Amino acid sequence: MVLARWDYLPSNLIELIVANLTDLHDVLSCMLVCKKWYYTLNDERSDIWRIFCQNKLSKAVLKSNVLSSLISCKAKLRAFYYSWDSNECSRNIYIKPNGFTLHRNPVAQSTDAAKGKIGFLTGRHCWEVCWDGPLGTVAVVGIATKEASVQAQGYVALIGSNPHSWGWNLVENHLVHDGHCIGSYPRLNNAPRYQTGDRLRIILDCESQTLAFERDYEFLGIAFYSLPRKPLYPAVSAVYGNTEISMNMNFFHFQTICIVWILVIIIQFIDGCQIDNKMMHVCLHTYLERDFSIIEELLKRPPYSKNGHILIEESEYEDMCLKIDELKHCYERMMSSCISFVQYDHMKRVIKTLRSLYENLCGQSFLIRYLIEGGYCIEYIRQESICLDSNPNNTIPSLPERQRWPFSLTSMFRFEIGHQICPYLSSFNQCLSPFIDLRCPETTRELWNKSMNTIGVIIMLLYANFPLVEW
Amino acid sequence: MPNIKLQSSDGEIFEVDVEVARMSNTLRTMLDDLGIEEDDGEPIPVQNVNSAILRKVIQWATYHKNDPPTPEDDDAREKRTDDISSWDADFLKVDQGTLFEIILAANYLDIKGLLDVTCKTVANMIRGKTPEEIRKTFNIKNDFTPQEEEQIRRENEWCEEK
Repeated sequence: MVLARWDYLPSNLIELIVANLTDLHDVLSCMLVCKKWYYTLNDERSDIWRIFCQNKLSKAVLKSNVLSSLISCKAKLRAFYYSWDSNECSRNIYIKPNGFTLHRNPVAQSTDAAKGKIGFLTGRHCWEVCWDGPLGTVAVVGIATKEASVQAQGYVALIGSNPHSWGWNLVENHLVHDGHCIGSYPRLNNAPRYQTGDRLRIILDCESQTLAFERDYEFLGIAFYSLPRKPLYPAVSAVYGNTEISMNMNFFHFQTICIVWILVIIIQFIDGCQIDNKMMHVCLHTYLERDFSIIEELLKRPPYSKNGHILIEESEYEDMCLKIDELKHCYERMMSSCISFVQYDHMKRVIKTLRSLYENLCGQSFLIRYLIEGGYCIEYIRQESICLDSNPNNTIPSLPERQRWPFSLTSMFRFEIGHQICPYLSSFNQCLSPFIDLRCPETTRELWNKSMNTIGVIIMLLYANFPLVEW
Repeated sequence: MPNIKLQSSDGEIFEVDVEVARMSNTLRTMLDDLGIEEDDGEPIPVQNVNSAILRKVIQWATYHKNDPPTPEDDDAREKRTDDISSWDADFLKVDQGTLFEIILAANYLDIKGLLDVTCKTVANMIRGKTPEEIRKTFNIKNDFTPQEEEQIRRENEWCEEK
């Protein structure tokens, strides 16, 4: 008799079998059976998640915009399981049938709070909170432990009013904890206040025990340090009558600025360092202005942990790959309109670079891992090295801030500055290379040198009248 | 009733009713494409399925040949696993090795009803079991390190919620 190899069962059959299970707990057990089963079931596109999503979530909520930022069924289902806990909220609050939105009944002289169903002890997590309508006189978003109370007399910053909760009072732009206002936030003079409809994102890093916020994709810096090592629950407190607050647990993977670097470096140098590149800009420009805002976002968003971690949602990452592919096609279409050999040759290089970029980034996941690991290391080294512009010992030519690394790249991206930035980037590379050689693993060194070499060669070949740069 | 001949991977020849053979979408397409109406003496090879399993499959198809066609994937339809008929339940009282072979055969021959009921049977064997118990039942080797297992549990801890 042939030995039954259940671990080699084709993926579609594993899915068919598991689709008959109605308890997610059983699905998890199946994931843990062996790698083949895990890979099949962990795939966010798997039918399993669609079936569970349809069974657990109402049709109305799946169509509403509460979940619009989550693409895969698995992410939506997961968000549902993390959302408001009807057992852990004030008696004046009820959770609407969609499962994601809470409603505070108009009760005078009461502050009411709600917590998420699942607390976090490890890992990094982020979620979005969205206030529907006005905040009232006090509105706090943050985290709380199991012990934090969910109802109080009067109108107070309830989340943050005790040792068990930490919050950002959106009305006052204050951070509150243990009953004290512990500072203004965001830490800017005249920081803008919350405006109705602002997208708030809370980032909890249990590894570094920090809490940070983002408003409309802008990272506002770390708000709280030294959080306790016990389960921390998403929490909000509100005072406004009939206020509705939705919560949306995001599904993300930690990537790094490195991917962005490589993208930016390659695309940048090809176009940004070119003297006459108007025509070539059409594709890239449309692409950047319209589609590639994520790169800019990531560049704007400073690394919030020591390792330079940055957040990219998996869907964003997939989107990014699609966009690179589109960009490649855009250039390919333009190829026929090239009127000189130089242009033609240039286009060929651009396309070749984009193609290899696409294949490397989006085709082989192990390369991404190198990029990520490399990115961590490079960013770490950069932060520590004397190559920072703020370091008085650095030998890099001084430039206005918006032209410095990594903002120089953004500016080039936007064609605000051109090839005159090249000497700066060249010295930056010269400054940073020895540190990378010393401190980073070989794969990272290769990665860095390769991208720098590519850039150097392209520049030398393309700009005969440009002083040769030593790379 | 016209008959046709099917040949298993190990060479055994089975004579079956055309209507029974047509329960299999794979065979139906083949018969339609080749324009085979009845026995012309040449057996149709059914690779990948040995005689023991083919015999079981034919037994199932013969019993179910008058079933109404199963509806195509209907999203609204709630999945149920308690609707296995007693005949099917008895029919599938086999060791997990045979069950595995029947699933593969049902998949290869594209017999939706048989695939459904076998998958349900396997799901029933899985329900409520720990990963280790599932591995034992199906003789699967654990290829995770304890760290990987821990990581997967952590990433999916929400699946443990009620």
